[in-house]
Amino acid sequence: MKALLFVLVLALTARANGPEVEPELPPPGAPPAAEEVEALTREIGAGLRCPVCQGLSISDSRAEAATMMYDRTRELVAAGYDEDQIRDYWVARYGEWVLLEPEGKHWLVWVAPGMGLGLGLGWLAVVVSRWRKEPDEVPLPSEVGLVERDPYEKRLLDEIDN
Amino acid sequence: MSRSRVNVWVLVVGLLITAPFVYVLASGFGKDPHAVPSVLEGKPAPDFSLVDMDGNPVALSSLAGSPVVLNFWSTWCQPCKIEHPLLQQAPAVFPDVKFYGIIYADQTPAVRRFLDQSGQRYPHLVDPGGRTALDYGVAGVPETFFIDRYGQIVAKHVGPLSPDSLRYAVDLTRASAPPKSTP
Repeated sequence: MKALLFVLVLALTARANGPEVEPELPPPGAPPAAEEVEALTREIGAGLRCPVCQGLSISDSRAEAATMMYDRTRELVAAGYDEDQIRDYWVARYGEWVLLEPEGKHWLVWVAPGMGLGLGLGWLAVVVSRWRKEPDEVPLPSEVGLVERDPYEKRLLDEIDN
Repeated sequence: MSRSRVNVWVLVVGLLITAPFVYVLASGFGKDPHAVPSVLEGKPAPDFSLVDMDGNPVALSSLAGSPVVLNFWSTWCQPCKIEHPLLQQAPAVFPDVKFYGIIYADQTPAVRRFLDQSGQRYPHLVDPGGRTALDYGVAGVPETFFIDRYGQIVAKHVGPLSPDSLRYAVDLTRASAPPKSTP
């Protein structure tokens, strides 16, 4: 229990003080089974950015730098480190830049497109409903007696009515 | 009257929509979009224990007390070869500074051949699995780290060094103040 608390405090302080280069946290649990290591590494590596590529993860790139990062990630997975610890490990060295998916504080990135779409659709709905209402609501000048009805218009309306 | 009110409203909404885009674009100008930001500047340099090409052990912790320049390089990297003559002269120009090359993702025989031709004026360390390079967040070569006498990373230079950028970074490293003690 004490050991667990110690790990928790370490984890919390590491998050509060920003990424620490050393010391590394002890692994939280038993190492995964050998056959699971590769799948877990691929999964975690898919969220880590290859430093020399254009928007590729280290799981998808065979560049020298990506391969070294992938091999190190596999070692950490095999030693029993969990995904959060491995992400923190890389963030401490390469910065948040290394994460392909933004962390929580960039929530605006996720929310803004939806908000923009909602606002746009709302605006469109208002504009379209105005277009539809306008012919009914706005009377012809001649109907409110502002101008005298044109003789041609008069004949036309009479013919339509009959 | 109502016409001017509508215009102000349109202006405010327009600004609210365009201002974030302008900010993002403006803050992106003048930056290299491919540059990897360094999170290590101002932090303690990660320690390492490596061996040089002749098998002599070198640990960063044993170098405390003098400024250290770490140059990550490889023989397949052309910019590294461009800056190599400058680094060859550096130990003579800055005798108080310790220079080390750290070999990045390369074969030892290729490195030995290159150094036999060019001469070796400072030690070059072998980095198995690139562990030290990863600890320093190296994204490509050449990258050069300037570490002060207290073991803090003062500056990082990406790409080949010029005489001016080398002197500037070395001066900065020599003048670096001791780290503030953290409670």
